[in-house]
Amino acid sequence: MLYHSSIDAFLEINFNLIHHHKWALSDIESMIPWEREVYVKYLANALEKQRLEVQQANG
Amino acid sequence: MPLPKVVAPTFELTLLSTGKPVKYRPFLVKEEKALLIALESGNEKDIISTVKNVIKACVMTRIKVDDLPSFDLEYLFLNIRGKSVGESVELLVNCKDQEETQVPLTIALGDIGLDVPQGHDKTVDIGGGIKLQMKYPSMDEFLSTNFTVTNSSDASGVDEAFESVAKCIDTVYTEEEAWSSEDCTHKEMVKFIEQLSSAQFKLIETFFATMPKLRYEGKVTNPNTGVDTEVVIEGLANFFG
Repeated sequence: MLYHSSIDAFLEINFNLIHHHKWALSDIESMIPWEREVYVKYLANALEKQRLEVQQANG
Repeated sequence: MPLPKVVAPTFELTLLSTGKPVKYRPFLVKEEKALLIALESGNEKDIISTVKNVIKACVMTRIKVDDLPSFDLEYLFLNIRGKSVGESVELLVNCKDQEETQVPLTIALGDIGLDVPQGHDKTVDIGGGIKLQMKYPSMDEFLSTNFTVTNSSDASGVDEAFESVAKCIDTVYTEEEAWSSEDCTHKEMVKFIEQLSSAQFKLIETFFATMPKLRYEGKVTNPNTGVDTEVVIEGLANFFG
């Protein structure tokens, strides 16, 4: 029914966004749930792209 | 300085019981958190009270959410949920031939319909030329009846059943006269109920037993055995999975 099956998984994503990416909790909590999921997906794609670029640069 | 306003898109739906349009916005991440906490409590009363609070926050039209019948509340929440999380619900269904096998089932919100059982009528003819125009119980009344009347032979249980039924009578009328519940005291209405015969009371019970509800019917196939399992889901707590 909701995006997350537990409050733990929900809070973990919030924690990662706040701690590693300097997002504000108030901004996250004012989003629509699907909007936050889209941002998380974009972020994951960007991180993956970054990882591949570093991998390629290192040969 | 005025407080900032949350800007969220608004949508409109029509209430099933009254046909009135209602404007609403999706719920936000903070409201999703409240729902998750209620869900983890596993208590149906907590879930419904949180759902109601979320609905109150999301509905932009001035309506009394507390007075809405349970099926309106469920329908409203499913639509709000659709605009907040997505237009489908994913559940895991246990196969009937292999209890340990779970099959994922995706239900489109559009496939969840209002089931009005055959013979349901808001007008109850109790005989002797007297008819009752009924109104649907609110979610709170529905819950208190379902959670407190555990034994119909128990005297206090019967009293509470009479009280609940009295609250759901809108008008008592004959061919010549009509008595609206607004013009009578609750005590008078309870006294009226008490003088009914058990056969007449059964007719009123049919109104409650056949009340509309949100319902989904479908089937899943066990990938190991190919056996189909019928899936029937009713009520908000069950759609929560």
